[in-house]
Amino acid sequence: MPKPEAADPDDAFSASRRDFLKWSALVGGAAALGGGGLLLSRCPTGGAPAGVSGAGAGAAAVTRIFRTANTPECLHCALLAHVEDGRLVKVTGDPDFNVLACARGISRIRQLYSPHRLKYPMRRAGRRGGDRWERVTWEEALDTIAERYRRILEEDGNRAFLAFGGTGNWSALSTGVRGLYSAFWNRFGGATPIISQLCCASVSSGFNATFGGGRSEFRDEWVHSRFFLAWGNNPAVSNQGYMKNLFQAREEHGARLVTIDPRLSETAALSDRWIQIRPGTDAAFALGMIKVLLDEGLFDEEYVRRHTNAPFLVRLGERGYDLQGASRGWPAGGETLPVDLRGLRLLTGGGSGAGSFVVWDERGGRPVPADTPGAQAALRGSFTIDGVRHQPVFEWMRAIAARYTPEAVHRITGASADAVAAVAREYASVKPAAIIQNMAGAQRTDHGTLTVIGHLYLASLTGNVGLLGGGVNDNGGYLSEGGTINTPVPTQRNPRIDGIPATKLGEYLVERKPHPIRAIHVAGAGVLTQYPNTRRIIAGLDNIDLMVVQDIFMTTTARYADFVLPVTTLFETRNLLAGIRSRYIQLMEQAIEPLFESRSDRWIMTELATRLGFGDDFDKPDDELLRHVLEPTGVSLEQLEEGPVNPMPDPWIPFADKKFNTPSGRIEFFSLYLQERGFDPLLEYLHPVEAPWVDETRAARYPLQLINRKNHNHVNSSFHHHDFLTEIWASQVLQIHPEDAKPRGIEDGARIRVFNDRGEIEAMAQVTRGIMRGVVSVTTGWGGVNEKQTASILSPDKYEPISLGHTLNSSMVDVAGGGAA
Amino acid sequence: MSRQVAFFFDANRCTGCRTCEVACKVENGVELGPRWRKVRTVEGDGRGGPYMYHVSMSCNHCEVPVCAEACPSGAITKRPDGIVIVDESKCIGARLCAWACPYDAPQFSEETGKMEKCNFCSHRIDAGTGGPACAEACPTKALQWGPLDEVAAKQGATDRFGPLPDADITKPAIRFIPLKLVRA
Repeated sequence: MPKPEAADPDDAFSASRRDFLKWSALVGGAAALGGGGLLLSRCPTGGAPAGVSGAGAGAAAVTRIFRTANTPECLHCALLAHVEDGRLVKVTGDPDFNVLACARGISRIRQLYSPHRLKYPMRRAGRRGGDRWERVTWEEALDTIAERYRRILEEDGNRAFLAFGGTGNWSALSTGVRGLYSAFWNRFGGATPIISQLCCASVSSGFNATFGGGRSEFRDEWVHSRFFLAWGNNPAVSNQGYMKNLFQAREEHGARLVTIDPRLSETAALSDRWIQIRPGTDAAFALGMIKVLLDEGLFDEEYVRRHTNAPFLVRLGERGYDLQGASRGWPAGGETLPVDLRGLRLLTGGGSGAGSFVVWDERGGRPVPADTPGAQAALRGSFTIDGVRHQPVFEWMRAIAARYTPEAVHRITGASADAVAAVAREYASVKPAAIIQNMAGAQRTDHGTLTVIGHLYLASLTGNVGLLGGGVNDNGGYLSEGGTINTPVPTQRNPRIDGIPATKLGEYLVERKPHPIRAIHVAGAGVLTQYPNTRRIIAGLDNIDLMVVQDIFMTTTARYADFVLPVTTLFETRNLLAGIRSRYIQLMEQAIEPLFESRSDRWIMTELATRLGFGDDFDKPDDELLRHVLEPTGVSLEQLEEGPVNPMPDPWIPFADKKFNTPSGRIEFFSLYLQERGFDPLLEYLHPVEAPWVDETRAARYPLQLINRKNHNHVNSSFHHHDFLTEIWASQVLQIHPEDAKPRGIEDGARIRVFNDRGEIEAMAQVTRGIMRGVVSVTTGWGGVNEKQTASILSPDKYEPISLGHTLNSSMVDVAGGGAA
Repeated sequence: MSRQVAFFFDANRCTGCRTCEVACKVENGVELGPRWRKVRTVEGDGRGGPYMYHVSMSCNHCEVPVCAEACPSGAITKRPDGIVIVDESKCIGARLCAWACPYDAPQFSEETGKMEKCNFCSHRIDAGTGGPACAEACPTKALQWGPLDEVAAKQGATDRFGPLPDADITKPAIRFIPLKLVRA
């Protein structure tokens, strides 16, 4: 009987170099490189050794370099793995790639050789989350899991399963988009789906509403931009590899950088102008800018006429509505309009596409289909058709925006009254101008979709959409910009299963909604460091029969599992990366043999599939699967062995053809997508739900607005186990303004508690004027290091009404001195 | 005599990502504890509001290496190309170099009981395989390296930067471009 082994996650960072060396030597002896199927892709200059490098490098060692790529949800940087005698001695960024790898990528050598890696399969030996484990063989683990899955399947069907594939490894044979892990669950017959997602749901819904879908990534094209508006996000951290392009545009063309952020972020610190607004008030600031553009004629009138539905005629109700007259009495911004925008109707005719909508032809003085050649569509005015008054969409936009005066914007957002006009004029004065929103923190708010639509309105009004270096920039990649890959194995159609909204995981598990979940399978996901109101999720795990977690380390999530399965790092398996965060397709070569008993996600899922009777399609040579994945890309494995390939047009201009997948084929300021779903079809600001000026009862107990930030040391929950990173970023840090810190007796560097009715975490205080008064900031997730510091514990589990997205930046807390009890 | 090598740091291009720090540790097998290169973040509150910038610095391979002068065992020497190196076999761990250095460059290793510090990746320079790993890893080219005369000739380059000690003390082989937008 194997002895239970205590695993102490808090002890994960005490490794010294002596441990590391000892451990490396052990591995070096046991894991000589097999050689078969491994390619030497590049030699250092002249084939000479790369010099003394890494721990214990031998004088005569020959360095072989293997290509791989950093797979979490970041920039997918190309990495070079330097191997000597079967041991990885160094990781460097590929200098020929479009971005150069950062500290996270090159510190992966410490992940590989970390003494704290999971080494063999383990089964829970005490209470759930009690950190008592017993070692089991792979055979025993897989047989038991498969047997219990089969029994649950027989008793309660596929809906009793919940599968999480996280952002820890977005490669094709792992948990990537259209990857092998999702194919496994498809061939399993399905599982309870997670509805929407925590990341960028409100970006998707904003693009759906206004552009008819699509995404827009042009980070390589920043060199062409002449103005940057970083809005509610921090590209200096989340796109640090691409910042060189922004710096180049500044140095060569004088491009200015303006940042809107409650924090003096790394980007704000480098900006020509920094504007602080209260979290969740972005759409009000956007409407204030729109008012300035429209009032001062700082928009591209011809573009707006041709490519948007601004000239389409609108009426309200059966009798029409005299907008100009009525709007004079409308209340100032942020207060409820006396008219229900959902009652607006676009006037339609008989045609199709844009031709099915009607505009007023100023030349002919009559209504015509919007695509009528030679017509001059009116943007302004009021027109009587069949006795009913109509105004163009443009007039409604103008009337709504007119209420967002500098004073109203100041009152709502906290920004100075003169900030709005200054930014609007600057933004509109030069093209191409880029709004960098990158799945911003600003869209993870109670009305995040409106924030995104605000950005799209501004870019559309100024004619920046479809322009090289202009538009609204997102993180994106090959799969999000129109490319496609095959799943590694064929998939099937499964019966529909009711899902669980992403933000509601805890509530649904606790209340067994929409049906009881009996088994949870997690691969590369920080469920208990990312999903909100985390204490509730942990409570919900009491209702689970079986939880299986496959990971590299004993993460917070893994601690609550019944079975923990050790997974290989990216140096130990062959794989492929073609995803939604880089345009490049990359081969990931196996550099060394797997350490300990670790196995790839691909091997684990294949073994389970075989035991469950559908393994044939999975149990094939790696390269056969990879060639199948690559088939639609037109890129071959042989090409990839020479280096990463960008199959997309270069330069890439999103929406270059000005064709939009909306009912009218145009940019829809008046969104039929939103109207069909019961929301206002035009952009109007709505206050957050969880904000101190809205919820005064809550504000009495938790008066501070909490926002989550990202740091250079992690991506979601990944990289928290790299000791070279934790040496620099040692703990959760809460940023707080001196005026908020002082009455609480909190000094810089103090150990503090951050809490609300959802839970409490520990942090170190950073007292700084680099954050807005009334707002505090923590590092999102802080996954797997110390559960007492995990920010998701504080996050609300409500969702954004349009996108069902995450609202972690519409959150309220209070802060007090002293560590947690 | 070879030309003195030097670092170049542009605060307008530094995002504070610490890739230089980690690249140094990975290249040189530096254990946890000693940090041959450190990125420090400077925060302040000027007339134009709060500001923040980063400084990436290691040993500056000074033209006047006061560390070498302070070393009682002659373990620190300056090479013809200006690289200041520690001979660990001669180091007795007296730490006087750390006292003398105004830049906190020499690091004491609890593992070995010796001092260690940035060697400008002299093994790479000598083998002709490149320059310091930190500069070559910088994703934004905020940190660069080259001969001191070339680095010093870059537009806007200065040896006076923020809170650093007076450059006349040791004549550090590093030039800076300070953040242009400090709201001071």
